[in-house]
Amino acid sequence: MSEQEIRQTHLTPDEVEAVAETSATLSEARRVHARSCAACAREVAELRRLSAALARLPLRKPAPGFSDRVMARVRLPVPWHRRLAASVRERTAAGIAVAATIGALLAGTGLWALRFPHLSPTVLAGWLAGQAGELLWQGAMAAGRVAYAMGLTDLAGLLQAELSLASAFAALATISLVGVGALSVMIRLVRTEPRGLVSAR
Amino acid sequence: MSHRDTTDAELAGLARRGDERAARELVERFQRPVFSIVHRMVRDRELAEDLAQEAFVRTFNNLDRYDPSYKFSSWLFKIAYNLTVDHLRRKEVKTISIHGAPDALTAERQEATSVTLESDEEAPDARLEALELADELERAIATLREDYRTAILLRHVEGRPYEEIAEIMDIPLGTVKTYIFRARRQLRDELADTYGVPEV
Repeated sequence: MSEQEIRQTHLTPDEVEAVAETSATLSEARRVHARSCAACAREVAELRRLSAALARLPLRKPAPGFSDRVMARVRLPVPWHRRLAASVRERTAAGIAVAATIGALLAGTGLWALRFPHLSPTVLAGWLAGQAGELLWQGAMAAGRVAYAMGLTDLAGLLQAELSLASAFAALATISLVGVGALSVMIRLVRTEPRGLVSAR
Repeated sequence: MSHRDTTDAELAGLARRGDERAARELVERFQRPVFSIVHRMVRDRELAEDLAQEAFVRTFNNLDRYDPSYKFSSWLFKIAYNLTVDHLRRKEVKTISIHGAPDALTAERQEATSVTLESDEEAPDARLEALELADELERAIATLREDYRTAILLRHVEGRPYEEIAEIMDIPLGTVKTYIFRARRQLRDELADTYGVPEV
């Protein structure tokens, strides 16, 4: 483009803005055009007027207490030293609780030993273990009687006759799993709400 | 310790480490610009407060994602812009009627959402013409497309450079210039109709 053509070509939007904002980026030839061309000078003047009017538009204010409302909802990260202090406090509280419990147990045992010297902790523990063993044996016998009454022992015997012991156990386990699965499906079906009864928002 | 002389980036760094006063200082600095631009986008004071509040809350609750190489204000405005545009698109509002929000059912609500000039000052006679122009300008801005409106408000009311506007709106620099150019044309044409200034 010749020097004359540069001077005669109208300003681009970027150039209009550069002139309006008195930017130093334009060449002298373009500045000469901006000054001498009525159309471009009008563009520049209108842009200046519009920019000034826009810049004078007032900033709107939110209602008083805006920053309080924001801060009430903000969750800033907790600094590491505060996290550590909180953790120590929690652990100390838990530690005190555990120590108090152990202390109470020891104190209780000590008082028991003083009050019932003939019932030492070893004797008491042995008595409790015996009772628990008797209870378990009774439970197993009762379960066996129930299984016999339901014919499960016959089933187990039949399976054992036809299959190896391991296969018999696997078959029984599979039957049990299928039964449990069917039961859970039934429970889900009972719990699921039918469509149309879910309330609208 | 006062944070008045601390830069935005430094305040953001302090807030990231849990300093509530630093976070509050950032809110105080930017509440008016953010509320202003959101209010001019949605033309509903209550809604603008909710959106502006949400913008600040999301900004601070996601400070771990803030990249300090960018200006804090860009990030904040970007979040506010995205929230506002999402709302406008959900409501399918392209431009704002000067006669009130489309869903304003009562006269009271229409009045609250129509384009009116708000001024914090008494207007002496000498400034009456300027106020009339500002009033017409507000009405003209309300008729712009949401993206044109955002671009021209960020440029001329907030004084943001083109590059920052491109970051905020997540569009190319060339598109920002095109939006602003078209917005200016449209505003100029609207004001030309009002004041009888012949078009170029």
